[in-house]
Amino acid sequence: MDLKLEVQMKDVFHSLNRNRKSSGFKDLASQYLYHLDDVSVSFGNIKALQSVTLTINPGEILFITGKSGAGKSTLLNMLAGDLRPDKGRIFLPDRNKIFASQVFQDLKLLSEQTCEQNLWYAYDDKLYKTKNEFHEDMMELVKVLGIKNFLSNRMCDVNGGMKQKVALVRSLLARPNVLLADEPTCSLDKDSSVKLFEVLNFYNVKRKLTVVWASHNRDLVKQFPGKIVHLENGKLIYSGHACFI
Amino acid sequence: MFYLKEFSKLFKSNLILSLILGFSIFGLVTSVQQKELIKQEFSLNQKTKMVPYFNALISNKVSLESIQRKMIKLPGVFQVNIDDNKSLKEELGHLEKNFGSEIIGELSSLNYNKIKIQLEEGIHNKNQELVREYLARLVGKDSLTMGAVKLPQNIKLKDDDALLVFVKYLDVYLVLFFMVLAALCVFLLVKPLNNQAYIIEKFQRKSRVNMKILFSGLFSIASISFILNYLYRAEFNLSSLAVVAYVIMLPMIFLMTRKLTYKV
Repeated sequence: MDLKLEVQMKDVFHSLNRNRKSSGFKDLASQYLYHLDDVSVSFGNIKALQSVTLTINPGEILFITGKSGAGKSTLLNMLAGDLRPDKGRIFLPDRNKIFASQVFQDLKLLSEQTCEQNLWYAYDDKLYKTKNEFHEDMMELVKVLGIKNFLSNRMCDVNGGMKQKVALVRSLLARPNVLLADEPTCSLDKDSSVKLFEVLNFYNVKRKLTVVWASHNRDLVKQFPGKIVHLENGKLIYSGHACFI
Repeated sequence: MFYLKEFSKLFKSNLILSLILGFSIFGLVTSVQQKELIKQEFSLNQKTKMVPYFNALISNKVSLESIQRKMIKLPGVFQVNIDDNKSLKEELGHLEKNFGSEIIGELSSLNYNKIKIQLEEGIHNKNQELVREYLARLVGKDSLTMGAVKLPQNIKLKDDDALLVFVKYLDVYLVLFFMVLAALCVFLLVKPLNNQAYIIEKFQRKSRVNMKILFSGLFSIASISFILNYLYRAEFNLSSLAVVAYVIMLPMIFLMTRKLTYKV
């Protein structure tokens, strides 16, 4: 089952890569999902975001890059609805239809519980007809990401990379239409990072998942097809395709 | 049911705090439901009340156990206690200082056992005499020395005595104590509860999870407490409604105004 999914994912990944290079992203977007208009956020004297204007379309993969303190996490928190802008406005035309799930930078996993128990927090009886359905989805994802053998381990007993994968699986199992991932690969090696991206790409194509991925590693995300937004000291410096950066 | 399950998870991961919370809710319900019983149990009048009694010295040739068995069956006898020889000798030693060694010395050389017979409250003098006569017949006058019947002693407290005032309002203090204890426990549980609720809200399409978890948990504990008290012949009164209102208010007081955040 996992092999089948993996092959499927690779096919989707490569075909999408080709398609995107030839046709661009505008075809995917019919109406925007989020529109940030001249948004600014400050924490005391620190200006976390300064006059950022940005549009995120449905089904888009958007990478937010920048150094530490550039405002990536602030931007993500604002998209998640945890933070309100001091200045400017955020437009969400389909506010009720959006369900954004997050991969937090500090992961926010319950350390005293097992990996599986943490994953079950994503089980929503409104989305899954049966618990079995959820379990099947979960097993498929954990096999692909190689965490199946660690399901019964407590979170505090597994390594950082494993935790990050658990956090990602938990977010995907919530069946969101927007995934906000804050440094989801910071504890992973390059191969694992690519694998993780392949999973997200698969969900992006199959389930029209909009992915917003914040990373300080611009070289890594440049390899993936998607739009890049580069921030520096809270200011938006570049917005466009990775190959033009 | 979902929220109750989540509360049980919270309960397990914060066992001591949750147990104290459970105890305080149970205590709160009980102190309201069993108000009369508490007043009766902790009443100073009853605590200081003593039943009339008399002591008797019985020769050790007589079987004390058999005397005790027979005496306890007698109407008007509340309790029969046999004192050991050690305490008797101590008492004789004490008397020797007051009365001189000659008389007491003779008594000490004899082997006696002390028996204390407690009579029923409000027993008539005639009946007291009948009990004493029965004992004399049982033991035999030569082997028995009886003391006078001592009447119950009551400590008279002034109306404004601090102890009396405290006991008078004990039920109120108990309710206040359990209310504060429950509130303190909820306050300390807010952080782990919010963390758990934050995760649920972020990954499931649910809202106000912290409030619902806490409310379902508190309501369950209160319900169990009410049922247990009801089984113990308590009645549902107006004060019970106030307790229910307080239990409903607790999650609101601590969670209503706060934005749900995850704190490490």
